[in-house]
Amino acid sequence: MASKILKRFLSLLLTLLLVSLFVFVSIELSQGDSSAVVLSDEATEAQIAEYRASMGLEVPFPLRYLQFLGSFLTLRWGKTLSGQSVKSVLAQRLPVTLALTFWAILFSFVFSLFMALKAAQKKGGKVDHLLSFLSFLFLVLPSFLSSLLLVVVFSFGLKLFPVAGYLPLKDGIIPHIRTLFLPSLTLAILHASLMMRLFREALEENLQMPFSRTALAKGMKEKQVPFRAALKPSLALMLSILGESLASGLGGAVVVENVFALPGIGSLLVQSALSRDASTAGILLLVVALMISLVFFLVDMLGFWIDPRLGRNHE
Amino acid sequence: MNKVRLGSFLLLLLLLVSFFFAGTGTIDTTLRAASPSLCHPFGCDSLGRDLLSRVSYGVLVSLGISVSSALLSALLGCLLSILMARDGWVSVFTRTSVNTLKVLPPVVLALFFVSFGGNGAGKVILALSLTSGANIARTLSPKIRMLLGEEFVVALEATGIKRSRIWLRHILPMVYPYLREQAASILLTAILTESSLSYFGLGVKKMTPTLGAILSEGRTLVLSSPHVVFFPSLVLVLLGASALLVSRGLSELDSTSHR
Repeated sequence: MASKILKRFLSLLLTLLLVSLFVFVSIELSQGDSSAVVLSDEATEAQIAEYRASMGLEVPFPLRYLQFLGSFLTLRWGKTLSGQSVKSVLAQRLPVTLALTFWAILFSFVFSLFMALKAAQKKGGKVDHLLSFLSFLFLVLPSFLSSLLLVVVFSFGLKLFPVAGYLPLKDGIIPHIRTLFLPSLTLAILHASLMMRLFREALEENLQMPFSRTALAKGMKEKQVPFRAALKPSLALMLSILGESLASGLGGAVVVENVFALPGIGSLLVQSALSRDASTAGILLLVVALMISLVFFLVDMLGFWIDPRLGRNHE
Repeated sequence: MNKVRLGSFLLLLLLLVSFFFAGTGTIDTTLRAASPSLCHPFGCDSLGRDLLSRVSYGVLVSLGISVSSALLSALLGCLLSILMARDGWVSVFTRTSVNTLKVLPPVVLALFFVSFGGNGAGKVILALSLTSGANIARTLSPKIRMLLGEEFVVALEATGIKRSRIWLRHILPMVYPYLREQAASILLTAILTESSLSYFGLGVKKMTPTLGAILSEGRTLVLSSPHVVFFPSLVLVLLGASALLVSRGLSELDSTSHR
């Protein structure tokens, strides 16, 4: 068990190291040196040399990578092209993305679990068909389209929620939730598209197991079997599905944040892509990779705890 | 099989119709946001350009990008899984790289690529192929590993047949169903990713009428003239649905024939 955790942790570190190397090499290869971007065409040789020296572009390649890694680890993340410190911008924006993701995951998890349990009560029943249909529809709808639909219905039609924008928690809890509701719902649709179907499959697998049949034979009502017998052994698998969804959902959060003008890291990433700010985008890519790897790591750890079978060595 | 047939039929139909109508449309200020008519079945956009021809162009772009990313990731997936089956540090390095790509969502990766040097279809395809290729390799390599231990492979090796021939004629055909299924699932991912990126003007080159870009331009008119949003969305959803039908159908086909 302990050796498995250690191994998993080492692979987490290796992954991040590789991502950082990838970011560094991509930036190096593509732009080589930023003097052409930052300085105007009329810059003299001396000015270019001075700029290059000040940015540390004269240092050899492996050393520069170590510097890059060092400055990332010590949180010296430099400035965006508009001159703000990347670290402070991120500190402002990360909570927004986290809040959005949290609500979206909560909505979709509760909804998907409910739907999967209901559908599992009667295979091929109405709810089961509804689940297949919804998971198909949700998968096909791009986030920007579902958000447009929601905005037309809830903001223009019913006038319940604002079209876009964000109010932080300190402006009151009701306005905060009102601005986050539609974005979270959009993102939840994206999450639910995968979760519903996979939860249903996980339950189905455990419903085929002997213990489910035993429960039925011992007199448990057929409708209660999914919840009382099949749910618990499915939890570890569901958790790993949740982890995958959380990871792929960060890509969706990028889209949703931009549609609803939420000041999260996704909109920052789009801004830096629009303004061709590769170094900020690189830092953001690293931060996203860090977050996702941590999610995967935590999910694995929780899995060991929920389902001790996973922690045992098979070899 | 029905799902696969229906899905590929729809995809082909969309492709043919789009080929016929595709164009960027000419600006005609008298037809701003004109409603659908016989001349312009989908109506016109905010600058009076015919929506049908623009949407058709968008479908072609979308299909082009998704099909090429699917093919490229299939190729990359095969190469990576062959490397992963080797011994020594090559396999370790490939395995680690493949696992690393798991933590990079395609949208984020594409945005990172765009942040240097600007937009381009190539960058979208590259981001998609890298992440999906790694996905394919992750699915294929355990199956390949299993096959390599089978007796028939040992027998083939004992008869002195070249390694490359064993791979091409014996191993790859046996994992082909999985490869096909995975590659089909990339179609939908690619369609969605490309349209989302184009929606922010970060996908293919600016001014190209892609479905995402058309919807992005049209969204301000959603209340006054809904057809500007309705028809492109309908086509986009139809496109995605056909791609999903193909991949769902293929996966059902495999799960019934293999178990």
